Amino acid sequence: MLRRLILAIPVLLGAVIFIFAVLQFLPPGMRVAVYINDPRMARFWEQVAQENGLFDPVYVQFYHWLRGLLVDHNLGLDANDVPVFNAIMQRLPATVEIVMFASPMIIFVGLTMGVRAGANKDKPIDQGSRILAIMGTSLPSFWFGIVLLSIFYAGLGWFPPQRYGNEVMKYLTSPGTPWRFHTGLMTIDSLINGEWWIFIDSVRHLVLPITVLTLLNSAVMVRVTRSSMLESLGKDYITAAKAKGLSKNEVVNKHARRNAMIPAITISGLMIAGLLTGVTITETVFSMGGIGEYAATSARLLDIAPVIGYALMSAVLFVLSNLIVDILYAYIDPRIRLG
Amino acid sequence: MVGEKSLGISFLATLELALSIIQINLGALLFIIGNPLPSIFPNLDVGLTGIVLIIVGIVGLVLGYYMWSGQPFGWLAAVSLAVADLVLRILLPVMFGASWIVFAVFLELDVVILYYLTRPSATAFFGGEDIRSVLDKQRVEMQPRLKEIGFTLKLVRKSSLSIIGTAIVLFYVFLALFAPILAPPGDISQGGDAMMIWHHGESLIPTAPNPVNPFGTTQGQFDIYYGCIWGTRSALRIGILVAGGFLLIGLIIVIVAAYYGGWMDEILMRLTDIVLAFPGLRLSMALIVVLVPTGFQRLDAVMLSLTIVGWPGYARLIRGEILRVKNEDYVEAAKSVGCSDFRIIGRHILPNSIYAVLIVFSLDMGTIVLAAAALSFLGLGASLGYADWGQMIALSLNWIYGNPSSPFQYWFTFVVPGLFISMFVLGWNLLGDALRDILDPTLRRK
Repeated sequence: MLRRLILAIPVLLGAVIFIFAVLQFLPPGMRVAVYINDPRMARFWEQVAQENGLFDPVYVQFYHWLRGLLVDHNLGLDANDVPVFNAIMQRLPATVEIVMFASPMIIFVGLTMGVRAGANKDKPIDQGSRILAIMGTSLPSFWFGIVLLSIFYAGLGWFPPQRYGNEVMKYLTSPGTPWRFHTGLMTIDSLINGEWWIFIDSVRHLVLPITVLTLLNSAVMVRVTRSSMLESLGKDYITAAKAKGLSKNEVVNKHARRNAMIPAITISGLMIAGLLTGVTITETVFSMGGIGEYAATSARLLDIAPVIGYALMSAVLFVLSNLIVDILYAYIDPRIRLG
Repeated sequence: MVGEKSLGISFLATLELALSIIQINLGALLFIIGNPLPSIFPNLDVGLTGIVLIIVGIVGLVLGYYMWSGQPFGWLAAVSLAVADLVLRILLPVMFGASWIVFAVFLELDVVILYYLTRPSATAFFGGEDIRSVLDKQRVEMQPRLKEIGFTLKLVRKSSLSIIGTAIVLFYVFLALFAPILAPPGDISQGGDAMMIWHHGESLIPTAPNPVNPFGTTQGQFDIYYGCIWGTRSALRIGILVAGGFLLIGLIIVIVAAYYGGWMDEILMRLTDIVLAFPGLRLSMALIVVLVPTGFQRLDAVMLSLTIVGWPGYARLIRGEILRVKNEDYVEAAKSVGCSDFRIIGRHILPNSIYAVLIVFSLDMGTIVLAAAALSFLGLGASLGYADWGQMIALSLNWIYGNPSSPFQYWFTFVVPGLFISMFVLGWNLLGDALRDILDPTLRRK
């Protein structure tokens, strides 16, 4: 366990150095933009660069940069002169809300489909899981999202894009509204505020992004669960369980499934970490206003600070969640826990 | 037993190998820097010439390899490859109008090689007095391999997925090669660049399919049919170049690192750790945002960033394969009889670990094109009007909702380019899956 922890530190440090090294490709004149929050100051960029130490030796710059990151959470200013850290924090709830609902769906679909497909090899359900896997790897998520929008929004008018509808927007911004934000998550806040119509509205807005994420992301889980299911069904204890006369359902549900789920749990941990650090494309297609969309919009304008900050934040979160998954894994897997 | 190596054959083989490497590099360079000598080749189709040069160069590499090694059926392979090379060199420029001069430079070598292969010294090298006896001998030697090839073909025929996958991939290769015939360029709005989609007028509102625009036009009046056909070329180009970059980096660095081990291996693996700590798409976005202001063309930045993000996966895969093969008994045996490292890597390790790489190459073609399309969709890819599927879908974003009376009015703006991407990725994925079942020696006889 401790070894894991120690191994994670150089990777984290390496990721930070890597991003810093990438930034060094830019001349000081461009890097200084993240410190300038007044267009009239642009003429004095050399002075600003001097003040912020952009002409210092690289290791001094790195020290200051890292210090700024760790102490002040300083990721620079974006094109609208909002500190990137604040901008990301402000948009985080939208992303968290999508992931919060999407991950259980993905895990549920992935595990049930995978276990069923593994237990019924070459039966229709297995072929179905194969089609799902091919779809998941071949369909571009942005296109799939657009097609769903075209059918369920343009055609049927059921599930609109964006985070909330116009009436909700009006209600939230009207003066004297009794609405209070508690968590920033629309679904939970609407329940706390007792506004059922807002709850229904936000669920309607969440259906399509969650569908896209579920269909495309569960494919990997289905394949992994299926193959580990097949593997554990070939073990001796399964033969023993069958020999003592257990029904097929009991063998599958009580004996094979538990062990088959271990790799799937690892995968799902990593997947949730990947989703949490932004579902860039899905957010952009449905204009959900999360951190992924923020990064994409900034990237389109070649606004460096938000994109770099986003990449850095994703890497840190990703490494940390890897670590957590590893530790959890050690508790779940009896071979490691007791070994 | 292989005969004495004749001076002529060795010389020609070395020359052929060297020239092939030069050609592959030339082809890659054409992609990267564009037309190097516009004054000499005013009408050079850079993309096409590049692809052809790379293909011909790879054929040449294999030819040189067979001439060098004196493999069991080396003579037959060398002759057929030389003929194939010659035919390709004449056929491709005639069919697609690629530049003659580039190909003519290397043409004579094939003729010389063919002549030399029929000389007594060459036939003696491959183990016979004259051509007929060489052929007889090689027919016997080839029996087991032919049987194996026959078995592979039987597996291919039996798996419908592989046939569908191959058909789809071949269809796209056909589209890319015949793009100038299927969708002739030369409209005034393209400004002389065939990769730009032609458009008449600037109106934002898409036009429905009509005789002039078979699939209609998208936002900005860009012709969807033209964009989809020529988009095949940019997709293939991105896929081949990035996957080729993976392959080159992976093979060169990792063979050295994994075979010799030690501190080089350690450093490499730590490097892959660091790159893999970033979720892929986010790192490519960050790299592009930094690369573009420093003077990179947008598409080059996309390809470079995808290569930087993707190579660790390859490196790990190849390293694992090599470490697995390295401990096999036959490598141990080769070492104990005193084979050189070069020979062990080339003859024993590579052929046995190449399957995994081939399969992943095929699967990655789809993934790379998907990632590039996603970046284009986010607005980080090619400039406006460049034939690129991802961009065409980005252009359709405003037209998902038609109008209250006919909500699907502009369906063609996203359905057609989306189908092109999905089928492309599907084809490569199916092909990769099928290749795994067919080529992997541990799976094929199950």
